[in-house]
Amino acid sequence: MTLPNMMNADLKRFLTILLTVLAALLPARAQEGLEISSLFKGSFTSDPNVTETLIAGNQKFLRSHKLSLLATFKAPAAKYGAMVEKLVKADAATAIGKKVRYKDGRLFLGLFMLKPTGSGKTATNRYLYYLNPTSGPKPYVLLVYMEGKLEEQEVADLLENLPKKSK
Amino acid sequence: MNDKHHTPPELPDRIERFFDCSLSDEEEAALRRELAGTTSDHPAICEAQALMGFHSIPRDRIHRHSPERLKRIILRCAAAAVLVAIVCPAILYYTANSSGSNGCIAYFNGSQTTDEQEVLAIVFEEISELKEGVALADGEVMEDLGEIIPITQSNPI
Repeated sequence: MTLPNMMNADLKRFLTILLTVLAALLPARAQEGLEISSLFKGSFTSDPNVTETLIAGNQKFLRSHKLSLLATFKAPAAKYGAMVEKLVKADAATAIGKKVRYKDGRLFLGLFMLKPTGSGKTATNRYLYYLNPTSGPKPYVLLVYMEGKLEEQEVADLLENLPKKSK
Repeated sequence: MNDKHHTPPELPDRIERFFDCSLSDEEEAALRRELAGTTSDHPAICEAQALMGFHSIPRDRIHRHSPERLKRIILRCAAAAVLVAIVCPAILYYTANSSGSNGCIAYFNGSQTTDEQEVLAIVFEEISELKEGVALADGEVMEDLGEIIPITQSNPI
């Protein structure tokens, strides 16, 4: 066996291991790859008018609802509306289920079931909700993103049964 | 002292008899002992030695010190070192920079909180706003339908 051949074999083995490790990291970053993930990278947290929440990993609330990630983003519509709508529309383009309502030429409400990541038992369902009510004293844009094992009906039940406030 | 090229004169004859199966058990055993000890490179002797398995060498003895094996070991060690040097820091970096992706965090009014109850309170409030939006949208759809139905009733298709 020549040296280049051996290097090829070892290189292949190394790359296989490397790719396996990277693949193992991917599920934890399932939100990555979505346009809306840019909202949760801390770029807007210094704005006091922005409310951003992120619950992920081994959290009791998530476990009890078969979720692995829950994120929300709320911001003034005047400043962030167009940007968030653009990101949502980009992700919604490949949605496998949707319910949308437009008002005055703008996306007012969008409920999207995005393409799951993984397959079979490792499949993770992803849901994206968008609201941009134009009425009210302070128009805002609201985005709720959820991912986990729960099915569409379970998400509907979860949203229906959540208390208005935790207290 | 063994002479590599020295061939006992009667040995080829006895080998021929061995192949003819005309040796007694004692003679065959003696031949085996002799073949095991000789270093002669006579073709007939080499053939008999090969047949009797005297030329088989354990695999690990063949490769133990071969340069190819050493190169392979070095390359494997290098690959493992690269793996550790690249992947481990990457995992550590990923872990250190993803505290928000494995926990509970909220940014509200320019401040940050990691209190689960506070974060959930914000989440619940926002989800209830979403539900109000959905109800509003559904109500508007029903309103629209309410406007459409009288039109279709007065103008049946």
